[in-house]
Amino acid sequence: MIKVFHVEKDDYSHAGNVSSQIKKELKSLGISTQLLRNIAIACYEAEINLIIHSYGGDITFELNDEGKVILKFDDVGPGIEDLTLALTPGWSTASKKAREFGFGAGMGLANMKRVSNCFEINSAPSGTHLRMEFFEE
Amino acid sequence: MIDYVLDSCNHCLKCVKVCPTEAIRIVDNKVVIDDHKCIYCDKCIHTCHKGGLKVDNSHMSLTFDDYDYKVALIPTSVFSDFQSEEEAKVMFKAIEKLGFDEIVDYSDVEGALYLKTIEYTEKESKLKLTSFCPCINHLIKQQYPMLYEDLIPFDYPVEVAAKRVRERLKDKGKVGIYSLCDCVAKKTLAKYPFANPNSQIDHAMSLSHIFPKALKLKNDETTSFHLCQEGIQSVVSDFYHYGQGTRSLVSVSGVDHCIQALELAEFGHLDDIGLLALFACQGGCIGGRYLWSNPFLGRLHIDTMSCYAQTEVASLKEEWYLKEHQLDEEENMSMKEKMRLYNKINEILENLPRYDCGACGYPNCKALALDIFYQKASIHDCRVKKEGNL
Repeated sequence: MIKVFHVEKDDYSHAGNVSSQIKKELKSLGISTQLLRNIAIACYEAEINLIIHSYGGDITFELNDEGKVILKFDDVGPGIEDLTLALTPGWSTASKKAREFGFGAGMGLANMKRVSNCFEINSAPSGTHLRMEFFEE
Repeated sequence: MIDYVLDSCNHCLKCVKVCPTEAIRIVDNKVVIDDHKCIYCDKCIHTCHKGGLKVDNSHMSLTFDDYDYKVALIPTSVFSDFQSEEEAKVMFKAIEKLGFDEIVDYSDVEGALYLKTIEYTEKESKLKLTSFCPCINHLIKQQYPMLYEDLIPFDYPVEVAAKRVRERLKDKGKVGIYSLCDCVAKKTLAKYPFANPNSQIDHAMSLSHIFPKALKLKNDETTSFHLCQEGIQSVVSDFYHYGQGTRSLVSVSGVDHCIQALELAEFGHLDDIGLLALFACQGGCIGGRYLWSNPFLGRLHIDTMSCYAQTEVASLKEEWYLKEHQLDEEENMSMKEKMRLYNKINEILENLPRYDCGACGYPNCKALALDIFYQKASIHDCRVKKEGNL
């Protein structure tokens, strides 16, 4: 099963809506609470990143036949300048506006990497592509 | 436990749509509530303009003979209904005259647990959730299971108060404890008529059921009450920012607001907060639907009563209030089986219109799909599909 959701740049008022829908779907599937917690945290952080940092993009939620959850975040730019820095806990380039909403603590990518079973990211000025896998070990 | 008491309903679907946990179906023109899903938030009771939904009350005169000594437990929130000290004293006496040997207002227990909750949070490093409100605890257990273990490991104040009364009155023979309730959720905790064998509370009645009976017995006689300032703070959801400590406290009231906060908590977005104080009723327990006043004026009344709050918080034994909140064992179903089930239900759902109109009596198409899968409903129950095929 594959579902694609679009996220607009700077759409703070709907921040977290896609993650909520994905979370609801996974609850109805009945996955373990630990796995659900990891997916919820990663999905939310990544969704917020699209809103705060990108020019907008798509979230792809895939549930394959083995019960693996795959989340993909593809935006249309502007890309992450220094990926190594971006993965450092506490490093943040979030705007003042984002911080006022309680986002942008600089834990996003580091957290996602920590909670996912598989984490791939590549970035260029034309867009950042993030892919995470989650499954029961 | 919430029962539909009318012969038939006019299918307005208001209760079906308002239920936050999708616990309601309309089957053969009757409202059917799934007790496993119901969190006793009372939204359906409130929304039914025909007044068709009710929760049982224990019968006093029919049960009084079962006990040697009868105690009425009165919650702090009742003080939001009184406008003067005199009025409270007269009403307490009138309630006693209904046939109780003693009335116990457990404001000091509510206050003690309020302080202990803040103390407990101070010792922790992660987000904790208050465990005062039965409705919220049901909600978390059912809809936000990954937060369930973050509940403060305390029992409900009313249960703790009942335990304390039992210990004090152990020489009085068979003690019957009657909880007078401000809300639906608190009422459903009792042993009778709600089948909770482990409860310390024998019977429960709503305050709005008791008040008219007590009013008839009201005269100049008075009795004392034992109001505690921290007890008041607890029931008006008064958790201000940092309490006495270093960890931040955030207070949320009303089911919809609580759901909003719990969604964020699940995303880890509230991890910097120390304690989320959650109350299903607006404004805290003073918003309970069995109180006479509204929570807005009620807040004024109870704050005015603060000057009579002379009672210290209760000293409680740990064994009375410590209670771990642990989820029942998860179903032993493999991921493959879960996937198969999930895919089958989604296949059925694909064949439904997915307008979530509710005309079939289910809150949405997914709920109907689930019952079609379990052969409790059929695809012909879908009105949209039926009309389309004509």
